[in-house]
Amino acid sequence: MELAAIITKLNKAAPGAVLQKARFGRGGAQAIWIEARALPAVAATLRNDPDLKLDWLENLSVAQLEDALVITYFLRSRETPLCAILRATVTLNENESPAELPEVPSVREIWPMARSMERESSELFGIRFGGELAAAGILPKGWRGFPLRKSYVFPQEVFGIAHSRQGTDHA
Amino acid sequence: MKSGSFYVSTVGRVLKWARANSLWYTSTGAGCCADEVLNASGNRYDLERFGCVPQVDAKQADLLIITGMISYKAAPHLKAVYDSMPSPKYVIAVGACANCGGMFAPEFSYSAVPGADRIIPVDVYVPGCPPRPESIMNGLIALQEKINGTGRNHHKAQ
Ligand code: SF4
Repeated sequence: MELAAIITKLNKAAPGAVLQKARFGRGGAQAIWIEARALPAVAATLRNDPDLKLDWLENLSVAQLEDALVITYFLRSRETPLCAILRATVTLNENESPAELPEVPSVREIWPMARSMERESSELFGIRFGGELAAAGILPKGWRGFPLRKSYVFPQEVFGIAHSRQGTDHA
Repeated sequence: MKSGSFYVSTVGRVLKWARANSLWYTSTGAGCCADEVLNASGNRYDLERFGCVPQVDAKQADLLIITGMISYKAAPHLKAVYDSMPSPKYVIAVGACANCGGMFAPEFSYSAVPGADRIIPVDVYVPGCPPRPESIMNGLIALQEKINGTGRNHHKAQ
């Protein structure tokens, strides 16, 4: 099935959700950019439509472009030869309080494998998936800040260990 | 000869010789350098002929070989491994990561400890990314010389 057919189906199921399709990276793959708000409806369509059956979330990645976070969902099907790439953005608002962290609807009810990936992105980028900030336990306890954001300032010292090469023989 | 001087000279030398030639090691086994340590103990380089036998349990090891990057999260566990080793104990840091953070330098990474010596004392640093098995062997011989008191720091003294 062509990408155009997938987009037609999406437009029918969730009108206004698809913003554009654009080339993904340097390869020939095309990504579908969607409204972050419409994510659950889009995901449910892709997962449940008998022609699509994109039931396998292969990967979930997050990247920061300027002042926006781009969340990318790489989808495959275990029954059809289809694959698709979904992308959505949320704007970042620096100096935000915990309640103002960017929020993205969660897709963990639709693709259960999203659970761990969302938790990881949540901890490292400070995104609230489904409204909650998860602690995946990747960072040590008591870590401050979201280290994969561009605005993150490296700590001067961690657990009493100076985070620099100064002050040693090999400085 | 007083018994004290006999102990310090002869018995001490025998003890040092025995310790230097039975350095059973445990390794953190992290990073790509771990493969070089494996190669060094494999049959081509055969670290065992220096009495350097791999041990799984740190409680039975005299030597800790640190390879690979140490994250801040792993640092307390590395300290715990070191603390559980019986004295006298020695540490070799193998590769740029264990020496100073390597390419996961503090300038680029928020999570890499800039060198194993920030956590535990290190006796011998083996440079390289990764060091060849010959270098690791050289590091072990340097440690043996340090234990025997025949260290090769002459060039520093001059
Ligand atoms: S020093 Fe180089 S080879 Fe060794 S663990 Fe680090 S990156 Fe890998």
